Amino acid sequence: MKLFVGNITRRFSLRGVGKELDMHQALTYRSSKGLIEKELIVQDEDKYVLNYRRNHQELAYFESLRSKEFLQKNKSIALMLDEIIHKFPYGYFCLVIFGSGVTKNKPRDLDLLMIIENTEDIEKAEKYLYNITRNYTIDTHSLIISFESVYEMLGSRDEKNVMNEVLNKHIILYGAELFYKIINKGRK
Amino acid sequence: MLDEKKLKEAQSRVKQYLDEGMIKTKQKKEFVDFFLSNADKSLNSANVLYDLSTDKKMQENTGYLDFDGFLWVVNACYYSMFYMARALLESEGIKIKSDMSVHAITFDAVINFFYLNGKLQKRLIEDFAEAKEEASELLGKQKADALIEDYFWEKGKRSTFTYNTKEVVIKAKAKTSIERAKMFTEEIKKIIK
Repeated sequence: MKLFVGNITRRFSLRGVGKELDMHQALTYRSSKGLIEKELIVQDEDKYVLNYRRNHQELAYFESLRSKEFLQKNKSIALMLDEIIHKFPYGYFCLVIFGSGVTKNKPRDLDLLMIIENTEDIEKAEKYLYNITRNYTIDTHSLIISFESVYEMLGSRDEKNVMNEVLNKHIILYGAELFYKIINKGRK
Repeated sequence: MLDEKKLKEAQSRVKQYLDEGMIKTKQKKEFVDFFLSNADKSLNSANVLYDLSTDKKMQENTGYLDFDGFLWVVNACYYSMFYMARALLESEGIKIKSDMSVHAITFDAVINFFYLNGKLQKRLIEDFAEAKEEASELLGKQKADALIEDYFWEKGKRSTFTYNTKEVVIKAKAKTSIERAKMFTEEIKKIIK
């Protein structure tokens, strides 16, 4: 599931899953069977893809495992995240790492995407976020967008934009359930 | 800066402080959050002062034209480090009860309880010493904390660092102070949390 939630729209053959995870084919088939039965992954032509339209709580749990694994190796980011969650004045938001930091063990700089509800709050939110992230040694590049912009970006499936990039390269630090809800609504 | 002799002296002073009850160990860890919060507030104050000293638009908006708070940036940064050091000691149940210079005793205690047993990197201790030194120098309080001054004063640097220090130098010092305080608070938080 970590492979599928890390690549939300990427399609995998079961053989491909085995290769990616360096797993024996029989074991891959056996483990995938349970995921298919629970509709966590669904068939798309001859391949399988994450079922991001349902099971948001479960998907959020798998995302939390990925995030936990990442934060254990990056304690500075964990401290920064803790501060953002406690001090950021808007309660309804998603915080996502995207870009090269996702795959690096100890990223020196960080691309941080924050999704908030209202476009009119962006300017203030940028200041709040900057005043927290500036107190950490990690070089953070933040991007704050509203639900509206996310829907717009997700609506253009073939366009190269941040949201389409994030779908298959991300670590969701906060608000995973909301993130999947937005994707479900935004991707037609 | 931190040679064997100075470390041994700090260790010996801590022993004396313990004997005299100026440092108490195995105490209730009740003020960690208080010190952490003060450290955050100090670092944020440093950031605001730095912004107001460098951002013309902000100066116009607040009416403080040509504001120069660089000296106090250095001081606020030192205080954020000092409060982090207090939080670190408090997190181990170590309390300082003294009318004497709390700053000097805090420094010795951090050396004794965290540096000498390898819990804290040398660089962080040296950053702390340097921040203390620069803050007192820039604010003209060289004699305020005699113990620290005696052991960590660098004469060579003193001659290059006068009251006539140019604004551009103080600005650079302020920037360095912020970076140093960020690093120090982050690393100490990693130990505490």
